Amino acid sequence: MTLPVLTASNWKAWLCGWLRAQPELAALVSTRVYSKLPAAKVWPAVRVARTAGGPIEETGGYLHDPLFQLDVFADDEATAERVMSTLAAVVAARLVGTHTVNTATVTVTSAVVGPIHEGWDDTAETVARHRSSLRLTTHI
Amino acid sequence: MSRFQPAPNLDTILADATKVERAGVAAGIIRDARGDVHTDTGGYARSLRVFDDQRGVGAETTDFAGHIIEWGSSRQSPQAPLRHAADAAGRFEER
Repeated sequence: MTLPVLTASNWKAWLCGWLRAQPELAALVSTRVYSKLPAAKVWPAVRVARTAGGPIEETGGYLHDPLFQLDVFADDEATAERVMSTLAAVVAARLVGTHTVNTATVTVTSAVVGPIHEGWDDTAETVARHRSSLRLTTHI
Repeated sequence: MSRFQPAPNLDTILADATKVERAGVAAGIIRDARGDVHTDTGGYARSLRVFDDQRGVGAETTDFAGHIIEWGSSRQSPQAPLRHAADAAGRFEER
């Protein structure tokens, strides 16, 4: 078997696509789930960044444990809270299972959403921002 | 039969016994974070330091924009140099 090589961009693109496909989340943010926020910003929106994790070397690259930062931006705190709670709920309910990341078949065995930090954006103080993390344990 | 009865101050004993090793890990995190952060972040790399105080032993930045470099904002994507380096040194778990 040829070992698929998965980059940070592959993981971000897959997770953004998966989140966009969740109807409960789409009802709140439409398709505004990004790996990089657009210049013309419309809230609420979700940003996904892969901040750490990757292939676990001791396993020959077949196990990955990507760590994502999840940000929800909204015009008010109630909306940010609702979007983040919905995001966490769909991840907990549906992300464990088999997915296609780039061209690789990946099984997610664990998806843990971290603590949610509530507050306001540092550079646009009228924007509510709720932040959390997502740690996946996966195998190819 | 043997029984192990931990001393009341076992946490302190263990913390003291491992302090040098943990400081070494923190120094490695700083080294990696310096190499990981973008070059357009001013004095961020120089601001990284090991601390050893009432919080324990760890790695931190004193840069005024350090939190934005680490966590991003609505205008900047997170670079996460400290989390990336901490995860490489072990498994980073946010608290």
